[in-house]
Amino acid sequence: MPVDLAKIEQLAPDQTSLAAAAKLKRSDSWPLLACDGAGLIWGECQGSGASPYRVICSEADFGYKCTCPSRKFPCKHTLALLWIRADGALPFRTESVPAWVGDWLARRRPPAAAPNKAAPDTAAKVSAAQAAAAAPSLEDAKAAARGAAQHERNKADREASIRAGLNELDLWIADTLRSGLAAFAPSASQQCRKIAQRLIDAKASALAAQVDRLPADLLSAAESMRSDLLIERLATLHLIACAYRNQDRLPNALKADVRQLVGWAVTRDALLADSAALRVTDSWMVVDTVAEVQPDKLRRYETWLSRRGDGAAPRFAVLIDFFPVSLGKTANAHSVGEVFEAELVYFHSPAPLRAVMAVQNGPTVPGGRWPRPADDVPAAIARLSDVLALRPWADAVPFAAHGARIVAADAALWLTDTSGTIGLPVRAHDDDLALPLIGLEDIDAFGGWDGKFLSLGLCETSLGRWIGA
Amino acid sequence: MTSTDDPSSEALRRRFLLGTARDPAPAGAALPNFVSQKVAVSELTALALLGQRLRFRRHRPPPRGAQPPIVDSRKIVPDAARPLMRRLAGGMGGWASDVAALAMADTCQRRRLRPHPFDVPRLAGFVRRHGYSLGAYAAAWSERGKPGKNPADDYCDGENNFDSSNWTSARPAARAEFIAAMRRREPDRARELVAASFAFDAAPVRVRLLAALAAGLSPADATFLESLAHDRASTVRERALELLKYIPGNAAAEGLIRDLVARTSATTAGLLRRRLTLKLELPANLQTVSHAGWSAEAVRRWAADRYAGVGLDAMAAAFGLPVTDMVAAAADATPLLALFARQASMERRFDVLARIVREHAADAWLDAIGRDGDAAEDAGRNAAAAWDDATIEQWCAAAIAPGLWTTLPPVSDLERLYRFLRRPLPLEQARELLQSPAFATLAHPDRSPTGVGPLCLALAALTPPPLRSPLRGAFAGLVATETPPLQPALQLLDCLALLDPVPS
Repeated sequence: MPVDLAKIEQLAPDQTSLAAAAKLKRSDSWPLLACDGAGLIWGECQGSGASPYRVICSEADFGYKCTCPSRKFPCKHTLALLWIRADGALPFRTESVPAWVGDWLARRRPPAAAPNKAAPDTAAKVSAAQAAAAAPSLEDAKAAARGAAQHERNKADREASIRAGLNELDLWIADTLRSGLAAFAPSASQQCRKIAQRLIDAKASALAAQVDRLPADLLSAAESMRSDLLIERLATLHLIACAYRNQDRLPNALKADVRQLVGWAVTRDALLADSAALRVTDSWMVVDTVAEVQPDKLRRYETWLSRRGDGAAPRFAVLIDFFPVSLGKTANAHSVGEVFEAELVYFHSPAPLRAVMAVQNGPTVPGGRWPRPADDVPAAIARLSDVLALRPWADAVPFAAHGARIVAADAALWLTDTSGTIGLPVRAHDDDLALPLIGLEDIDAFGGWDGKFLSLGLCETSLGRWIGA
Repeated sequence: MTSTDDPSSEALRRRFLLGTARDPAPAGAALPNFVSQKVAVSELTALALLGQRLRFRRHRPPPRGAQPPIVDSRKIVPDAARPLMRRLAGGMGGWASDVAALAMADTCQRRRLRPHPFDVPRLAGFVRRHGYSLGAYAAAWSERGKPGKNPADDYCDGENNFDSSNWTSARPAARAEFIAAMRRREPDRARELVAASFAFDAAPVRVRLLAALAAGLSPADATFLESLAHDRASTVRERALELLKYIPGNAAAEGLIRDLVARTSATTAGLLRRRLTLKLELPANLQTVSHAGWSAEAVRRWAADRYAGVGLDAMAAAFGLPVTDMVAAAADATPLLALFARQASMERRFDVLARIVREHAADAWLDAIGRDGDAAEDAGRNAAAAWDDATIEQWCAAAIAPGLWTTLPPVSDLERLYRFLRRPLPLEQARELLQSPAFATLAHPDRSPTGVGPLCLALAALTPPPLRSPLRGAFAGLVATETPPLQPALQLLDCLALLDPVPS
């Protein structure tokens, strides 16, 4: 994807970084500027120290690495390198990938690593790593058996611990019901923290995170909606607990889903290695990006993708990345409207949505118009119910409809069909981004439905594309 | 209807809210469609079922709002200009300075363009400050959330939406704009409208309306302004007194002339050819600091602020000299030259202004438009706002002589020039500026790199469309010398080129 100023601005964590990067665009700051001719650029930037900082950036997916100690991501050196590339003011020598660049490439995830050729010495390192991975086969068989048995014991212990934790969760919900939910809100933080800690002790960390999020969600909801929200959340928690206890009677996809919800994490590598996982290779368009800070001090980035091809595979996917808040503000690598070819692997679920990118084929490019959704508003709303029926605890369901309109009523916005007979309330943006959509006809809308509000991400309108992020 | 839209489950919901310790939840009865009456249902199961019922509930959307859509007949800015506008003026402050935002807003106003509606929320600060230059939609947006009527009714765009029967129902900014526009066309009618509504307006609004009357003051306005001497708000009284002194023949003006004559001493100078010289006696507080550079400006500002408005002819008559001789006699008295420059500009005596600039003080244009902090600045600005393009060109031809400048004026002065003109310089003056020795000092190595960016931004705002390309070339030379803060100026040039292309 060609680098341009808009992309650099989007990547920049703040205005100060851009200003600092602008000062590094001088030729004497860069003793080395080079590229491999296949979308990889690197350079050495002379900082205040004796040795220059080494900066690498992939033009295909804007992955980057700099050796400077900055806590901003990307740092000013990375931004400056991209900026110089975009301006074309300074020449980049085309040369083979040096060892330090190849080393970074070898450690990268497949999406960007695939299109680039690693240096020969890197290939040697990868081979060595593979050989090391194969080494366990040479281990003593008894040791392997002992390890497997220990693993099984640990797993069984954890299962027992989780079940005990779920029992305590049910007990807590029952106690809350006996006390009355009307009295819950004032002490929500303490109560939720206490049971969340218990769930963490019981090794049900994902479920603990859901409990931990409850007080903040309650406070952010309108007062008139809080009691219903509380009922829904407690009901969902109990439902998950019941489903986990009865997981052996559930279909495989639902069982895998509920285990993840409770805390059995599936790593990226495990998912990629899972031959039963759903894999979809197609052209994907970014239709929404969401960034939010979680109570566990992680910044969560969601990239919502819409599949552009035909076929029965899921039409949407969401990629989720986490970064520690302590790393500072980082930008999402993708922006709404971009398109790329990729193979996605979905996590097991009765309504597959979350996925990881196995491999990206080719560069990310700006896409054209988002393909018009097949559903009108009533059909899209019915599809929400279908997803809920398959996955009753779903907390973010993609919504896509054509022929929508946005209406304002009582200081709230609604997405409705043309006749105004059916609709969904739209989540208000702090900066009123959605207000200009009022009065426009025949909108193609994409958003995420959280059970209460529709968060609009992208709309194709007669005035052009509207982006919510 | 209840929140569950179902009376039977509403009882269950209420029980959960109130607590089930004393009165168990009626689980079976509340969910007859989901569970058999014969099966005992635990409270937790009932909770799960109720929660799912709530999740599947769909609300009927409220009836469509009665608020009519805002009609804006202006064209939307070109797509290519949108990212540039967002970059320059996005968020609350944007990247660029006020003058860049002002240049974009003025260009939109002149070319009858409006920002893309989807960009308006992202240009919040810009729209709030310049909404009335950006079309009906942006104006309504800038007024949104304030109590009152539908903002779509309050927009005064080219005086299409208001007439003298309904203008009082508009918001203050729109009312002032309406009065200023009418003042240009029918000065007496504008004053009558203001006088009729004055008793019903709050003090800040009255001050605003008086400012709108500042353009085109005449003796006919004296009665109304004098009646404001007893206004209940001191701000209004002060504003009215300020305006009164710009009306020739008024008692305030007469008093000022007597004071000016009393402060001015006439002597002769020259050995071979004796000539008359005028010298203004300064107040004691200005005399003590007159050696400092900054105080020279203060002296000029004081003279122009205090005496401007009394009329060149009236002053010349008081000194017993023709106007040209009076100017020549003040050649060594910079405060008097500043006063004459301001007065000549106000009276559109551009020949006098040109003589002052060409023969005595090349920077007299700053006195003409009012230096920073001048009390008369608003009056001067409003006078320029009332001028048509031809008058502005005449003013620029008289006052702006870049060929005489030894160096480029400071950024603040160039920005003030733009605020005074509210449009680029005429082609001739802009060309002279680009070719002047003063412009060449832009690339001087002693100039601070951080200071070059704002200077270039102000120059970009002042440059007319045909010369933007040469200016960009000149900036490119600076970029080659690696001056990073030039980006906003280059982006402003790109943006203005899209909004206001070179006429074919």
